[in-house]
Amino acid sequence: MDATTPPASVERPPGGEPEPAPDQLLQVIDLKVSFRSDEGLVRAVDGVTFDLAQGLTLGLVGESGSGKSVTTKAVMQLLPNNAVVDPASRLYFRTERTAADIATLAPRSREMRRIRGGEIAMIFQEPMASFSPVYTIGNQMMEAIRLHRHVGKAEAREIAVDMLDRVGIANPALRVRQYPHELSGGMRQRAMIALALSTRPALLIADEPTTALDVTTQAQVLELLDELRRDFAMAMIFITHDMGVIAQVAQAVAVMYLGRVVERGPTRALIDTPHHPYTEGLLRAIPRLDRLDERLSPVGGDIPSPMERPTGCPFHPRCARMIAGTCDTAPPPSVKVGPDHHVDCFLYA
Amino acid sequence: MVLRFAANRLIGMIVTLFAVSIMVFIIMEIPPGDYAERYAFRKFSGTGVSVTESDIDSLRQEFGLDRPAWERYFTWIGGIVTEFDFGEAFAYETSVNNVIGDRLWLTLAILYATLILTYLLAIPIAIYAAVKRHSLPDYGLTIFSYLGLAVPNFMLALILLYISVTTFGAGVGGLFSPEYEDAPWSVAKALDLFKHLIVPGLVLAWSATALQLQTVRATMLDELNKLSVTAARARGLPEWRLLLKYPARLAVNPVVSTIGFDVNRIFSELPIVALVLSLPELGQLLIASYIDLDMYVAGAILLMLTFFIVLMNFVSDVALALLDPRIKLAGG
Repeated sequence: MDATTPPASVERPPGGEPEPAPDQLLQVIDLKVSFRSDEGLVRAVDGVTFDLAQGLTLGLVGESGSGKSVTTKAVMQLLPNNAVVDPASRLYFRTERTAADIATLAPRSREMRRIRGGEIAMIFQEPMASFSPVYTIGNQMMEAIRLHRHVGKAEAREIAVDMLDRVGIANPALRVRQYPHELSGGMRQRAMIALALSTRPALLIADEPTTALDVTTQAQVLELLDELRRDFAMAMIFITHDMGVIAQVAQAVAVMYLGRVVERGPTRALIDTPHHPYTEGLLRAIPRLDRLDERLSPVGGDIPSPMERPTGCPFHPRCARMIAGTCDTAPPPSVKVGPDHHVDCFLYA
Repeated sequence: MVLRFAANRLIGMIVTLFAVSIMVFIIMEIPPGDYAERYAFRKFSGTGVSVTESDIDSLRQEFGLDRPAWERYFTWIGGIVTEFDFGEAFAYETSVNNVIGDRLWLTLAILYATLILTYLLAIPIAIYAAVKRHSLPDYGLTIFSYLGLAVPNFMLALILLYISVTTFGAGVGGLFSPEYEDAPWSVAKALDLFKHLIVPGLVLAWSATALQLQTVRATMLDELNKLSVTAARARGLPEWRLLLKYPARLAVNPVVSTIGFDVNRIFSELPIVALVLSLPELGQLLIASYIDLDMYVAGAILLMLTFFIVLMNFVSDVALALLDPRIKLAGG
């Protein structure tokens, strides 16, 4: 496969065990995650499937509660104790050093700890809260470096300083000795990126990394992330609720709604010809300079509680094009509507 | 940075101590009457001798109580600062230093034994309970600590006294076994003291432990949910190393910041436990000196108590500054 084309998706062969595709970095196949709660088992992720090729960025889009963060936390095995991953879920992860189904690894196993942080790194929405306030930036960076790269203290410090310099932090030798509260918000997010990338991971999961930043800083951080992805030949999963951000950084998109991927495909195709009514709704909600006189139209209604999951297509109660008697009875089929472009909707069946 | 902070706090501590010494002196002046009246009453009541106002005045002169309060304050505080002389203990007809003497060190021994026992028990247990939240050990510890808060100390002291006498045949009263009572200090005597400190330490530490257990557990639960802990986990850190380095370190902060309060609480609870276990300590002496209007004894004890509370506050301030780098900026 040509590295510049977006990742192809693997359909689940009917009735058989899904086969890992050796050219993909990450294959999430039929991931189901539930949480034990006082009201019983609540399904947060309900059969998510997508793949990611080496060196590309996948945008994971959806409203709060759509299961974006739970999906990536499952990939990192960072789910809380009350989470239950369905045993049929598959999380194939392949690099030069690793070939594993993450779903079968114990969260605290040596192998999982090697992957977590070493092969897959993660950055979070709030750069201030992701650093511990009582240790220096350097202390926390060197901790990650020494865990995964087996170098001495002095060398780890050198790597940390180089990484801080690489993400555009001025005077890195000083910053490495400073505490998180001594850095500005944008600088902290850069430091967090430097920390995550200092172990040279094959995959970076970015969980709304720019939401807490102002617009100018946001643009700079997005540019930096894209540049680092190319330089380090690393893949990225970029979680956001902002379609505009997706267009800037991602080569492929998966749109999530209530624990399911409702549409996925190459970014260009998905934005130009959205198929799922929910994707259309999300795109209409973005302000556009060439249509200033039109009112923005938000997606009507609220995302239902996962405890009262609608029958059939999860989106049908909010869908303007709902087919009565069909959409509310059976789950929609997955339909291929273009190269690598899939939509779960009865309208195209 | 920490040194400058500590120096600032040290100056503040000295100022506080002087302010406290004035307050202590005023408190000693407040009760009506003085030791001259008390002495005359003791000496002549029931003897049929009639005591005149001038007799009492001459007694006042003898005790130096006739001089104005400010003059007596400066003589008192001057003696303490220059010669470490806390004045005269009228009721004992000797110096305050002699009366307090060993009792000070024994009180301090009980206080610190209790503090150390409290922290050694409360901190690791609370961290474990928070990590294993909603498990059987967690619930057990909660019940245990509520028991500690609910059962009065004197009752606990009596129970432990009863058990140790009936089951182990060992007396737990006093601070020394009879053979060491008047013996010079030696390793064996220190060991004997340590053995006698276990029961009062346990009694006093139980309620203090119960309180700190709940504080540390709550803070630890709070810290466990912090994003920085998830971020550290996402770096692949082994779980226990992670727990100790990140949430546990911050969960200790409220304990460190309340060391002074703990000293005060333990000292207040000490007399009743000391009474049951017949320990020679300062709390009972303080109460006795109030009753006798023996002002310099009361003053010395109050001053020493505040000195140790202020000192422990200073220690906790400096320890917090070392533990939490954000504090130094605010402290200057």
